[in-house]
Amino acid sequence: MLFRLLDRLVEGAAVLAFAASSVLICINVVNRYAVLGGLRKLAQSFEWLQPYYISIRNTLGDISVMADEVPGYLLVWVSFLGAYLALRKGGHISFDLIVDSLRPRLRSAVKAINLALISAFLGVMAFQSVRMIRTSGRTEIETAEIAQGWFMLILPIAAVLLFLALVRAQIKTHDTSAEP
Amino acid sequence: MAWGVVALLFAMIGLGMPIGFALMISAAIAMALSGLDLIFVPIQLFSGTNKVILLAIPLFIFMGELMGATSIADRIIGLARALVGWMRGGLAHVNVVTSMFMAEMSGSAVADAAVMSKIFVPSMEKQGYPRSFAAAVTATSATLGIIIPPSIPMVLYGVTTNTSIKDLFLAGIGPGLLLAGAFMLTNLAFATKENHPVDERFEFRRLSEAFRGAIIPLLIPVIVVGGLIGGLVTPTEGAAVGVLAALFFGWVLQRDLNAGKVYTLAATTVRQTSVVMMIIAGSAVLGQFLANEQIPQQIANGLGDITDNFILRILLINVFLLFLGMFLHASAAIIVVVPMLLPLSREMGIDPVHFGVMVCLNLGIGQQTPPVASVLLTVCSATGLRIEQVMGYCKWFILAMFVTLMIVSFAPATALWFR
Repeated sequence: MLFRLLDRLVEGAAVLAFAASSVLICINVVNRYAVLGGLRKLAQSFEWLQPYYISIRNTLGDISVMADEVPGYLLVWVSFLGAYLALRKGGHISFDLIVDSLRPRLRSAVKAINLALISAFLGVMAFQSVRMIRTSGRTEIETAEIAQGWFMLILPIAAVLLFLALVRAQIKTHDTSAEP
Repeated sequence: MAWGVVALLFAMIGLGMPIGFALMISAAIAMALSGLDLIFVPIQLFSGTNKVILLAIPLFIFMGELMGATSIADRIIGLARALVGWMRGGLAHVNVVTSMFMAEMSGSAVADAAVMSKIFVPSMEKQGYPRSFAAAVTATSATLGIIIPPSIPMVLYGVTTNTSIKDLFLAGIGPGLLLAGAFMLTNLAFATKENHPVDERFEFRRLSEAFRGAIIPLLIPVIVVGGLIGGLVTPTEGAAVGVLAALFFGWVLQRDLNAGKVYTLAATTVRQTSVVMMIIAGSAVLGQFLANEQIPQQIANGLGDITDNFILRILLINVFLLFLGMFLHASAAIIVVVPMLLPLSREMGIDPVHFGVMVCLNLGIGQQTPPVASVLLTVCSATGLRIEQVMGYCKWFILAMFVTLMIVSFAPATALWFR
């Protein structure tokens, strides 16, 4: 139940980040061709359009500047939130041919080693990304007054989420194998 | 120690660890052993994925998902039937031509194979084609998805090697058409040998009706690639425009889409994207370490030392990539291995754009060859056939792909015609 809620939350956040980054990119194109191209020419011909043109140009212009940088940062959120969702559904690319051909006990041992290594790495990732945020998180990005720590925050969050997904997968495997 | 890290990486991949994690873990171990501060792990993870150009990947995936959820496949099949259905083995040719058109929209061979196998295998079987033949045509023609633009592996190659994605997309057109021609010739050979039927007679009126029905969806990729070639948009912007156009077509014009469907497709896109992005993130961490240790140069020198002969070197690179494609997913192979081969290709004077097309063709063949065979496995799982059943026919189509690869490898003009 809790995991289902978490899945929905993470999925919603990932889709939102993806939508926001896509919208920013689209605004960039619209601003360049529709506003600075078409609307500007129209405003030169029809004076009553001038205030609308200036207002739209200023608003979209500010957003457009951000569109050179923020979508990249949002992509980090999309990637790591998506990594949790993919891990929950077993979607990450792996080469299973050798493992699947092993005897069940050996296969379990190999999987346990993989699990331990990934868990240890996630621990390192969580600890070191908190260090990174404390060291350079307050620096603002170049195109907006946003501290890059907000974007970096996804790394420790993802480390915890991925670890939870691994734990959940283990519980599920255990429950399945325990069934008569 | 650097070679120990490479061995560790391949050992972890061989033992079933997700490739993205294997890359990250081997890099972290290497850094720890070298006495580097592990704070560089999150720094590289963050900077490796924080690139606006990489947003083109989810946007192209999303565009394909949106188009796949509309009635576009029916319209494209209608056009393909009107175009080539009159030939002997008509429906098999229709399969290839449809994949060619669909390739313009999705950029992913696996996605194309999943959709096409559900449509074509039952209808071809109904017309008397062997089920395994229908599956083989569907699986192999899906490879056109990564050769004909837009192509996600080409975006990855462009980002990894700093090569113009616009040039790569242009370079994919010629080899894509060659490959489609090779598949149709193979179809024709089987049609003659096994007496496959004609689908429907050629009628100009039907062709013009089918063309009218398919013109809007066909225009979407033309706008995307045309905008890119014309220098009007960047690859990311082109993909975003494609998404907008697909939404307009599917939601407003066709009414096949609604908010719920779009959300579900976006969630699928996010998951698919992350799978590639984790490999990119991992290789950002490991790639830096391997570059510092000059591993790519060592591999280039090692391969180069085997022979000085240009032809043998090209064959060697192709064999290496074909072998790799049998075991590694295309994205992983491009991100991890291409930087290692690039110094050798540069030393040989191969244009990076031409090399990119060669890499994609090799990996396209890899998607058809076990044990990994991602596209072939997708078709097998959709049709309920075993790999060995499909392989009976598939091997001839793979041979056609290999011949195309050789032509493209030794005749760069097939890819670089636009220069």
